Amino acid sequence: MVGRRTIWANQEVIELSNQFVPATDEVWRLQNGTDPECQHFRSFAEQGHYRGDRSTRQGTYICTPSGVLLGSMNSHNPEAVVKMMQKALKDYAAMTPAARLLAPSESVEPKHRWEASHPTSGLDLTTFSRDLPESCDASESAHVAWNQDRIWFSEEELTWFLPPLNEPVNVGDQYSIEAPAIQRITRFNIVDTVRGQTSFYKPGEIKSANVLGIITAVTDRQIEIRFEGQTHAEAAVSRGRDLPHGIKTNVLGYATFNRNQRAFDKFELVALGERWGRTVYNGRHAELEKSPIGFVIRLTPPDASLIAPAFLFAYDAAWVKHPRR
Amino acid sequence: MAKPIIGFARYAAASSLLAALALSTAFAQKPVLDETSLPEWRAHILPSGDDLAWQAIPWLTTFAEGIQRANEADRPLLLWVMNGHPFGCT
Repeated sequence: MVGRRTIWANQEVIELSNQFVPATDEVWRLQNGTDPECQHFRSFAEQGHYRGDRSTRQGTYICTPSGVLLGSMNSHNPEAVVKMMQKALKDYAAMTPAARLLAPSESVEPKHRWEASHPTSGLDLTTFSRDLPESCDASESAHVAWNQDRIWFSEEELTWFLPPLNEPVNVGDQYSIEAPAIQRITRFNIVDTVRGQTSFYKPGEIKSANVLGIITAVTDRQIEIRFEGQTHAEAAVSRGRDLPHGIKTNVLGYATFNRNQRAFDKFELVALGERWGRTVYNGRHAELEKSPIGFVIRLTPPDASLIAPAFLFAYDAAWVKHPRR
Repeated sequence: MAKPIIGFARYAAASSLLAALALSTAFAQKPVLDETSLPEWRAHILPSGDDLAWQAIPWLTTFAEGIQRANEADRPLLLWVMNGHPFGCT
């Protein structure tokens, strides 16, 4: 995550990247999967900076399309990355096309990617998380670390956020957001990812999660809704280790549902509260005490890259396509 | 009727409780979330232009697409991979 603001925000790196085809991806699947895409990645990554170490292959790699490794490192030093990029360009130019390009018969097409489950007519939301200032004054400078994730609902599931549409809807009507919706948000997205990946909450670790919808305006075309509620999740362990942690928030938000399109034109939830404890990988080793944290959950722009939610594999949803075992 | 006398132990316990409450009030500030503060907190939490400077690079978001495009363009692939997608939760 630090790489976002060190390496990849560096102007020299950005300019030099024009001479490459730049790509990002999630590494766990690439280093463990059986797809041709994963095998092609391992053909050069196994010779890279973490060769011999079986735990992770995170970092930056430069390779030919054919899979010849030209450089690799996991560094936050832009100068080192620039040197690696410059050397890789020279080495690439010195190779024959036959050596650097894929053989015509070779394919790296994946058999399974989680993005294939994207519910095109559903609800695609992006979550942003950031620590809040101890003073709880929003005008103070923001903490540097932040993170993001996605959360998906199918076309059928987006009705969880709506009042019963087979009955008249009136201003002032109140209803509870259906439990599976707020459970999904609380288990997978109101989690402490500010400093890195974390564990999700199991259903039994949700102590409370209630959000009320209040109708604020109704026309033939749209329904405007105000959301308010609370979430509270606590767990004693993370990945089998005794690591108590939790999050408690208040939630407020607004949405506009387009009745003709059967889609949300606007959807935003803000959740503010406190987090405590740590999980195995979330970088909170020195921050076990309670401290303020905030989340914004809003519509993913239609032109945004298609990225699967981190915990999509754990959704209780038949529409999620899992890899064949 | 005589005023009830609080024993020392109960007095001390009550005092400790009051002190603890005072401390928790002093240190446990909570962010206020209402119609007025929501836009301020939204702006505070969402990534700034500086936070998103890394997106100035026209990243493709899968390795396979990167390889295919690099092959078509006859260029080296610059690949950034993390535990968790860099465009998602990493």
